[in-house]
Amino acid sequence: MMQADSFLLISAYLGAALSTGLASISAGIGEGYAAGEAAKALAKQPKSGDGLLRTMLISQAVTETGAIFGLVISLLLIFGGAGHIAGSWFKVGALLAAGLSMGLGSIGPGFGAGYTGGQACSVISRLPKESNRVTTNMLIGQALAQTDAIFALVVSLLLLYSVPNPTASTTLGHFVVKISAFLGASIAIGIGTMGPGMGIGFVTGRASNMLGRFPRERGAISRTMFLGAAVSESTAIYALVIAFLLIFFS
Amino acid sequence: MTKKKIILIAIGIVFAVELVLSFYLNFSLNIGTNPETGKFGLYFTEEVVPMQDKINEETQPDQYLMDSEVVTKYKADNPDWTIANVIEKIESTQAEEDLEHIKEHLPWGSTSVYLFFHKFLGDGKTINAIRMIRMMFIVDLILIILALMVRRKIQFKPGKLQVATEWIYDSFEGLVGESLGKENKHFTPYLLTLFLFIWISNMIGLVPIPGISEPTRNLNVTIGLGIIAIIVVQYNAIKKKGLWTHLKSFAEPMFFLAPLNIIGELSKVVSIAFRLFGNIMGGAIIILVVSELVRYIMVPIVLSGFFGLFAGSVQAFVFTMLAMSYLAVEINTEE
Amino acid sequence: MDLNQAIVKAAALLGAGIAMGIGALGPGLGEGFTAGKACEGIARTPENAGLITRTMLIGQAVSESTGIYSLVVALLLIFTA
Repeated sequence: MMQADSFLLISAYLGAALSTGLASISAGIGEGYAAGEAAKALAKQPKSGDGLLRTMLISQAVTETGAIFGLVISLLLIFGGAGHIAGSWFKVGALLAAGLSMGLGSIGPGFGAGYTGGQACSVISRLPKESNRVTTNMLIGQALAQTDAIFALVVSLLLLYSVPNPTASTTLGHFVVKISAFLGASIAIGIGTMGPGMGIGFVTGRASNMLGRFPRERGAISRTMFLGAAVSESTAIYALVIAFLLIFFS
Repeated sequence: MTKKKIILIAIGIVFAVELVLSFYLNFSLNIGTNPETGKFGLYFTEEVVPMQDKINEETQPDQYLMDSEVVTKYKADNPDWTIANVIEKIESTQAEEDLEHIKEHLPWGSTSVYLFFHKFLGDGKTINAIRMIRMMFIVDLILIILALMVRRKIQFKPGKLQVATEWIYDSFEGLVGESLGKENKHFTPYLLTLFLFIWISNMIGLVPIPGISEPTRNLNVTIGLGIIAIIVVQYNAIKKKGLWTHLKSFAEPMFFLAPLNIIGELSKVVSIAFRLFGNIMGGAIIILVVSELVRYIMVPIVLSGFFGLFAGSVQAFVFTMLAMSYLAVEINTEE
Repeated sequence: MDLNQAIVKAAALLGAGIAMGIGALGPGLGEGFTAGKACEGIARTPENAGLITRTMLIGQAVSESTGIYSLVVALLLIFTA
């Protein structure tokens, strides 16, 4: 059998690249959407400059959260001492899976948060009076959308740090099963959060937009937003359950 | 320059320092004589962060105890011993150092409490169960004391506490009335209790005392709450529609889809229980890892603010709203 | 463990991950779309709020059923293969 030690670094660096690379896709597109909507709104209502700029910047900062999670995981993989761990093939799979899960898992929430920010910007220009309320709602909505990215972060931290040490009976077959279980967990949580992330982003984006237009109905709107976002998230939770099962009980 | 600006700049500097520090993930800064060069001053030593141990201790305390050095040492001779046997052996041989080591892992550092619970629960669950039961008791005590405090001083001219409590109850009653209908306001006490219990459970994690953790971080608590919620829903659905009609509704649209409908009902428990558990547990793990990385400077406070205050409140509200909406779908079917 | 058995088991576990991952994509998007449109509906006609919310929940429950099917398939793959 080949030495696991050299493969540890390879999989750590590959995981680091995947983590930041994939996570940045949606952060870029989402922030671009928010900025585009803000520019469009500014063209229609040049007077609403200051509030609009502030909302746009805040929304972009929150949209970036997923990409920052990806960066954190990359840093942990690169500097986190992958070279010091006593080499085991379990860890080789786990490091790659950690990067993959964080990278894939930030894609959906990034799109969602960006959509919410864009919708908020576009409505603020119409009714600058409601700017504060819309911004608050937008922040809550983006935080809801980022919950899925947080699930992916948890799975990838667990993969990084809580993978069980190999027991006495470590045959090649055992390693194959374990490594594919880790990769399966990362794919489940990574792709599984894409849909819910975008879905929640759509809910909160429409809710922010409607809140700006019909400020009198804000109670009913934000309640529906919470409920709808919570139900949309349930498939991401099923994915989290499957990921936990794959990591700990396979 | 205003005061606000100075504070902002100070916070910025602290964050910049943290950023620099956090790049030295494997290093710790020491003051003293450098063992390599022999010079006195500041120097870095490389250390592997024992994050794996910390997470294991936090999430699987019993497994952590089983894998600890002392237990494995005693277990090497007698592989079929339980931890209770090991503790009894240590206590009978008066091995002071081993006793100290094992007491570090046990709740309250007490072997008698552990042995008492171990009789019922066995090796893999005891510490987790003691932690959970302890925190549940604390939350229940807080709720009961609050209730008694409010109850004792009900007056025609309300005090501050009474005003606050009445405001919470009124606004919740309005919410229940809107979603379940005016005639179903009698669900308010149950739903409000659910909300307050989960909210106080989530908030209690903000108390910075070791050993105090959110009871909702334990999956047993959240699944228990979820099962109770679904039982309430099913009971009221049967009461409202009659047993036969309710059972028939499971066989829609085709009779052979009944198993999938039942799984769908059970998946509601999974979904609300894991939503609460995943958020609270995820917050705890992230706070643990990040605090370790930045050496406990400033950032943990911000993170606790987000995960404890914001996510905790939102999740308590979402749990209650979901329980309410499951009820609404079942008991408001015909109009 | 025999290598052949191990490969079958490994494929089953990887398959469970893929099933749940891709299976969660559609329902998540669909439920989000439903809830977003429900928000619009409630904002425009607040007097129908109860009806809209109920319809939204039932619609979401139906769209979620495919997510539940993938959960069942993933569980079967993990525990029986």
